Amino acid sequence: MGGVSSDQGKDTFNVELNLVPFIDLLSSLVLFLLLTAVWVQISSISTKVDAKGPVALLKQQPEQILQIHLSEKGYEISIPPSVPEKLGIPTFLPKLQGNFDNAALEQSLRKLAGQKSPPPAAVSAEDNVGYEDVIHTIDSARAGGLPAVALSAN
Amino acid sequence: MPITKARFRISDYNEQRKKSVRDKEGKIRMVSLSLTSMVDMFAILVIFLLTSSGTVTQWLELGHGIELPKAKSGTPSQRGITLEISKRGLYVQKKPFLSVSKIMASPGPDAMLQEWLKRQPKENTYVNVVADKSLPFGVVKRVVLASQDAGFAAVNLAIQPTENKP
Repeated sequence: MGGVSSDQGKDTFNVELNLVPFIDLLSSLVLFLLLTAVWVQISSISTKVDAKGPVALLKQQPEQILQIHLSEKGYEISIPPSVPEKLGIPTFLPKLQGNFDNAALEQSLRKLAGQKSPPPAAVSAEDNVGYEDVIHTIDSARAGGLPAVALSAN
Repeated sequence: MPITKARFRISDYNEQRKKSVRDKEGKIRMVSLSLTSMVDMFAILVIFLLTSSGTVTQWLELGHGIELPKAKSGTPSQRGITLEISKRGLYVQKKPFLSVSKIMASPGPDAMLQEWLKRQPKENTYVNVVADKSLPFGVVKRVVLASQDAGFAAVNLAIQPTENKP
């Protein structure tokens, strides 16, 4: 136990602090926090189908949407006519060493982000493309500065 | 003002303890346990757990050996129906529902899942899809389509956030 003692001639005093209740409190608190602790943070990417969102526009006015399609060969990008050709955004980005070139996609899409009104984007993929690749593509498109990026499951 | 004589009840308590542990030979055998270091350890553990706990409640749980894909952009999860897709199959409310091969067998959204989702109350307007990163996109696509066709406009794909690199 914690304690303080002092000897001053004939007068002595002992001060002892009873730490047992404090330890009980701490152990209860530790147990509670261990049970309620979150060890793995989970977020989510929304694929909400808005009436005015990219997926809805894809059905109504597909020519206004930037479509990014993941195929076995790489990224196939369909650029809407509203995007000027001088930006030099490629329509096809082949795979790099067997993997999708997310860095090149992000770099290309950054040119669009500087535009007055960048077009919304819809990401689609073939069935046998990896789910992780699709998520990375959505991530790269958002990192490239596009305001609205949606997953097209059609 | 100096303390000339102090009387503390704690000292009396110690005297009582000495009397109670006096053995047959009349000798006092007391073992003192130093709890200071344990208190220090507990305090550090409490501070660590308090700082690592988030303020936003997490509604999703990981199970069935699912490894989430990592992404930088993500929003906190929202409460709703959770559909877990592992390499073995689809789990609804933590119970096995469909295998991956059965999901891929249908060309479009899975009819069984769609029927089940239609029966769910729409007050939970979110569907959280917790899918393993190694799955083919076709499996997730069919589940998302089934959810949207069942009337759930907001389908969230669970990810593991990574730190934003400068």
